[in-house]
Amino acid sequence: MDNPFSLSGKAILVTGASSGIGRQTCISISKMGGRVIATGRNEERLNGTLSMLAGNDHKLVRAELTDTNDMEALSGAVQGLNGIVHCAGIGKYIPSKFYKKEDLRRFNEINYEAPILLTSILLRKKKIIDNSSIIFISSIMSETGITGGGLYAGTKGALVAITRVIALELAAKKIRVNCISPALVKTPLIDHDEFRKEMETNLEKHPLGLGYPVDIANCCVFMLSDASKWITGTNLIIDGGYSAQ
Amino acid sequence: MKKQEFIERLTDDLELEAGALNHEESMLKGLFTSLGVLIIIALCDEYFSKEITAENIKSITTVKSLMEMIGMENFHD
Ligand SMILES: NC(=O)c1ccc[n+]([C@@H]2O[C@H](COP(=O)([O-])OP(=O)(O)OC[C@H]3O[C@@H](n4cnc5c(N)ncnc54)[C@H](OP(=O)(O)O)[C@@H]3O)[C@@H](O)[C@H]2O)c1
Repeated sequence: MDNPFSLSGKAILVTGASSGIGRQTCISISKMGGRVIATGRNEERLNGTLSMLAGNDHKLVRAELTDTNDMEALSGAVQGLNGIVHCAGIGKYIPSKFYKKEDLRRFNEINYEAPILLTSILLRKKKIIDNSSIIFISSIMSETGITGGGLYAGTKGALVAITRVIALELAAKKIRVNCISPALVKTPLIDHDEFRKEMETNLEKHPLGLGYPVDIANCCVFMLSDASKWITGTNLIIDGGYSAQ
Repeated sequence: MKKQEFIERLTDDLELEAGALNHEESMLKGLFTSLGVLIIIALCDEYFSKEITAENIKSITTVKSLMEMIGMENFHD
């Protein structure tokens, strides 16, 4: 019997593939039979990801996603995509009375502009084939607030809003567009000094404990597979019960 | 920065009552809400381009210990 969750024969572009959720997503896709095009900035870490993938039909493309030339080169290096997982992103807590234009720009550039522009370029160049699935990794902060998380939350909320619009525009081609919104997941993004205290205080707010990259990667596999072929324009929250309270 | 000016800015940024911090030995510990911690991190970056982490903040007790963490060379009487 055909497995609707299989990614066999599908080519998937994953950004932020050198670390955390992106890296695990590449691994999980490869285990489900998919072919991965992994992109990130740090070549060594990208190679690390490559070495963890099942099968050997995968590809690495180094790209700084805020650089127009790199973005062009990346879009030129891929074809016949069946899916994209936009994982690249940055995070930092800044209280509202200390917001700076440079911080706002940096957050927007990486968390919002890069995934949206990359999607647009790939669509324009007809690199995304019909019946594909596009996933933006948003955040629980698109729905709920955390003190200091404003600039980050703004970019993640924007992804949720634009997802609905792009989903409508691409529905005729049966290309699906969705967000996945995790709460705290143990990755290098949060597992360092600045966030440690935040993690400790937030742990008890997650009834199922903190998440692991594989929890998000498995949902990406589902959203990329034909098993989710009637799901578009949504924001799938994966938060260990964080927002159930 | 003048020490007195720093104490005034700190009081203002943390939105404490005027005079709540009146000298270097004034206690800061206990005044930190989660927003307070972020404000301290942000003001150290803004005024002194000094990166301190939430972890570092745990060891701060008084205004003076915060100044020491920032570096006493940044302050004068
Ligand atoms: N961890 C969480 O708790 C959590 C919760 C909700 C949502 N998220 C979201 O999940 C996504 C992945 O987060 P993570 O925790 O896996 O983070 P991570 O481990 O810090 O990884 C971030 C990835 O983004 C890439 N990246 C950052 N800036 C880039 C740029 N300018 N150009 C190209 N690539 C860039 C990094 O590449 P290099 O390694 O090459 O620099 C890295 O691969 C992010 O969008 C984040 O907002 C995370």
